[in-house]
Amino acid sequence: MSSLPPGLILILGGLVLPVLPRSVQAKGALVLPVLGLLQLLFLSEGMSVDVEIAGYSLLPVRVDKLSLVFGYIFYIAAFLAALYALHVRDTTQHVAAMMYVGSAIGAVFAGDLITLFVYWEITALTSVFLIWANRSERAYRAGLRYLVIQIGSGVLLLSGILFYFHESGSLLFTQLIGPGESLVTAGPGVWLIFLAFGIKCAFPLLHNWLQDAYPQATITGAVFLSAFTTKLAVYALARGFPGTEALIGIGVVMTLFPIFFAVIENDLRKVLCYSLNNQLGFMVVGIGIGTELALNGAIAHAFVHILYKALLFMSMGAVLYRTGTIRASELGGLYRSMPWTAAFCIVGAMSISAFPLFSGFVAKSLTMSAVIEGYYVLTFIGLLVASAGVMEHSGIKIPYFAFFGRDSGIRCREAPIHMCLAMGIAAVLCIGIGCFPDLLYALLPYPVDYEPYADFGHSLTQFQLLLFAALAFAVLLRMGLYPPEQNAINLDTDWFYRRLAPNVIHSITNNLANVTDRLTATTRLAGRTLMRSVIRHYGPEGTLARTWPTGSMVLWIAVLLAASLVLYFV
Amino acid sequence: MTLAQLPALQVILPLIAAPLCLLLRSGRLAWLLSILVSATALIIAVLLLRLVLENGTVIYTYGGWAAPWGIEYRVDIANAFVLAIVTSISTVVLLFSRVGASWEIKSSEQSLFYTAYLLCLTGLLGMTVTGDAFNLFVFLEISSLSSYVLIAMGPDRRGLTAAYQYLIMGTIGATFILIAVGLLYMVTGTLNMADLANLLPALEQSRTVRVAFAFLTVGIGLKLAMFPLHLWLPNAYAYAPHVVSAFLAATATKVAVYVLVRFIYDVFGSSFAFDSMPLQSILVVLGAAAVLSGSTVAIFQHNIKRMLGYSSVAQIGYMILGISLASVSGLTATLVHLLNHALMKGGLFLALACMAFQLGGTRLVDLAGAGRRMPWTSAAFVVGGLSLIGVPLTAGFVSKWLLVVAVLEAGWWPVLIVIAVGSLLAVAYIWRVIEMIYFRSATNPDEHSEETHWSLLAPVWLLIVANVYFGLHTQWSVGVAQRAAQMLFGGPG
Amino acid sequence: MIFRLLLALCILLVVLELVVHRHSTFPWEGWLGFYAVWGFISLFGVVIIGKQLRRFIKRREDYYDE
Repeated sequence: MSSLPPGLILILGGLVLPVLPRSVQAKGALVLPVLGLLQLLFLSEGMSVDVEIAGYSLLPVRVDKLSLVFGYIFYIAAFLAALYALHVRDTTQHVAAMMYVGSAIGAVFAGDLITLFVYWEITALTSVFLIWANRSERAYRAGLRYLVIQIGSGVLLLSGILFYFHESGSLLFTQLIGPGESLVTAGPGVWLIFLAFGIKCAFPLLHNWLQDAYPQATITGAVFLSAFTTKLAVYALARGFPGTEALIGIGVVMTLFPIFFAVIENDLRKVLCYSLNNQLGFMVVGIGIGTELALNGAIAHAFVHILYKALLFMSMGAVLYRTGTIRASELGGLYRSMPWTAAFCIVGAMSISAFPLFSGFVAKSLTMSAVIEGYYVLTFIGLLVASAGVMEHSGIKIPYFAFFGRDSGIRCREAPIHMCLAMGIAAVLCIGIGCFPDLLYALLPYPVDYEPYADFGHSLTQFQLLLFAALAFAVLLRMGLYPPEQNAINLDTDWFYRRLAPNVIHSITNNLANVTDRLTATTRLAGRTLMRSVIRHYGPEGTLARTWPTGSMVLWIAVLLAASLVLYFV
Repeated sequence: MTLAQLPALQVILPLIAAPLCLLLRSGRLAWLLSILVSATALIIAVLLLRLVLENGTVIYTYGGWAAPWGIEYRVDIANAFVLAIVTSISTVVLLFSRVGASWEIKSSEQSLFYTAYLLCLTGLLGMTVTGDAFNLFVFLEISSLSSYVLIAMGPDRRGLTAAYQYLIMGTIGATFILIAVGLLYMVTGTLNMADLANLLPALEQSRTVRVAFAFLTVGIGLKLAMFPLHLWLPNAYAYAPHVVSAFLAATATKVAVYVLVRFIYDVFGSSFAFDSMPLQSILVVLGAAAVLSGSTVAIFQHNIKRMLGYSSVAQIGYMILGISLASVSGLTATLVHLLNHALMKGGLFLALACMAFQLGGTRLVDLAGAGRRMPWTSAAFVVGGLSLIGVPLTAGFVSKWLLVVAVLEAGWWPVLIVIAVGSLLAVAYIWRVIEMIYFRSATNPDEHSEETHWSLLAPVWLLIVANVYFGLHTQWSVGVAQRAAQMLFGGPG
Repeated sequence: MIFRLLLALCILLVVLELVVHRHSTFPWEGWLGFYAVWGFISLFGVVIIGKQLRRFIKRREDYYDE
């Protein structure tokens, strides 16, 4: 049992699901993560399985604290999402979700780069079905764009692996940039791997697949998607690039730019995607600083983020499930109809905003202390602005526009019981970790010598930051300065490949066609004058004009023979 | 029967069986005889390979005439490897053609079909096994003439023009090879390849040898559809009967590549070919051009058989690139790709044949909604396509990986980009098919819309499983190819 | 009503700061009410800038569907 690669239970189990009757499949998908988690508990740290394929020694399984912590949270998230999806009667979604989770777990336990790459691509291939399962033209196209970018990231990863292998002779997945080196001095292999991770981690300008695709996923699919793909990238960065200075800058930009987009976004699930992007920035900063405290912070953040982001996606999914819309401009006042969902959503919102006693606080404090410890002044200020931004879009906007604000008049039923249960468990975990942070700290790869509640001043300033931000929101609303929600979309970097590139290609082909038309017309005119006398003698038009392909082939032979003869004699 | 006679039996068995097929007249009996012969040939090839791997080169002299005067068959690791590929593909295709060929070939012509098939097999095996340059030409003609017949035999009338074009091209190619052999005979006085290899180094400066080399590379280039001499191939594959496409795509070009390798590395020697002659730059340019142009053209094809044909042109480009590296690792990549490409293209063409029988055509639009109607065949096509792209866990990945490692070893960065772009283009053309199979619903659902016969499915999946097997267990394929490459570079057999 | 409550709470938090000892690494971080002011300004600024951003990137919902 312990020699079985983690994740395989879900991948194989996912393949077995279609055999079960439709009504049982969802329950089967619920059992699989439990089995997987049980297997994980039996794994001992330091265990590894190595095999030799094609003369290269690979390490498909490596168990250490870093992989274990991601393994635990991935299984917990999979269980919650499967519970949330208990009503789904769609075989494709269950199979895709289980294989997706399984391969993500396999990836965090992969000890070598090739195995990592294989799982990396399987996550891309399986997760896209959670988008396609919406079965609309729009979802299909968004899914295709998502797939192309994800596969592209895999191709970059593989090319990077090849270069890296050529440079270093090693396929082991460990820290790829040594302590004394930086990205600047690293070889092309490391660069390519960094870029591949960066795409999957939604680095600025490489981010837009996330906001493009996730809102098109099914209600339950989005919950799965929010948890695994990007966090796999965070894991990969934490494994391969801890202490890479460039990540600090990238991370700060990542925390900042999505918050502006989130302010004016109307699709509340898309707001959550921008928020997801912003949260990833905090983790990337932690990895970039690279001290034990900072890495613990990044990983703890990933852990709690998976929980509260899934909780927020579940609550918005429940709204979409009951009302059929997720546009902020059409929602409001739902707390009357869905009080439980509203309450759970507020717990998620307070967690992500990092209110003391909620899970976000105990994780984010680690990263922030590491920033202060390293005297990164600008980073610190940037992250404070970003924290206020999180408060704006996730802490206030999401619950306010869905459940409070202007009453939309929509009256619907409370979310189904299994959805409430899944949200409830996630909410309890959020508060539980926030009140008893040592439970989380015990799982982290490095020993934690930090007590978030020891200094009351810290909690106080956090309250000040958040509540004054809330005050600003209230003031803006009262002054009528807050931008009203509108039925509109906002351009992002996807414009370059959805609008600009097709237009450019279109105009190029048009122009080319024009040029060729003109060229052929000229040639034809010249040729016609030349040929007229010939045609008069040799029969109807067309017979001679036709080029026999056989002739052109023979011509090629002559050309090639002549060329090689010349070349051989020179 | 002793093991020493195996090289002769390898060729003579199908040669004798071919006219017998004609006499049998019954298609069913002819098939039975063919598959027995092919299976026996496979066993012989496997025995030979084992023998060669253990004891080194096996030599058989006809009529007891010793080498420079008589004709000798000389089996070493390189051609034993190719023999195994050709015979196994031939056997699998024959398994398929019991039902498969009866769909396309008139029952009155079936015995003729198997006669031509066995003759083609004879020619291919003969070209591989022989150690005599003129004998090689003879077998080349046998295989070519019979393959013209095979291509023209299908129900598609366009097969006739395709066969005609192939005939013109093939004849020119064979003539070039004959001219080259004649020129070599003129200066050395021998036709035996091993003997030629001994005598040629001294004649490196001879103009005659250089001209012979030019004729030979172009002539063989024609047979293996080296860019830009590939124009005959897409039509020949597209309009031939489906089983014939599968057989020829998986074997004929492979044998031609082997012959090129044999002449470059063994007969002329790599120092002549790459140091005195600018062969390297020619092959790199043509190989890269083949990869890029073949893959790009494949994307725009409406007929999937033509698409696979152009994809073959691109895949041959990869093999040419491997040869052009002039290193053991490059040659290993080429030899491994001989096997892997035979497996993937054989599997793809056979899967496509199944779809064509059920859905009525091989145009892209004919395949709409095939994923629902023929789940197993569609899945086979997808796995084969993944292998063609070079996705890990498939055989295609192993070939690409070896080639890339060899290219990196030589430090040829631009070639690396060519390989990467080629793979992306392959994703594009395979994706078009997958999209059509799984994401489009059929335009006119007719009654013949269920999964194909199991006897057709079994050979398809045999090849597809082999793709996955050789993607995971590379010890055998890469090991043998590596030893063969070392031997061709003059190392110990 | 809610607004007044929030306002009161905010004032209370600033007053509390006079009583509670808090540790600060950067000097400006220790100023009275720094976090309160910075939180207010940040959110205000983010919303105003976001609103301006809308001018450039807002499109009809069917923009890409044409």
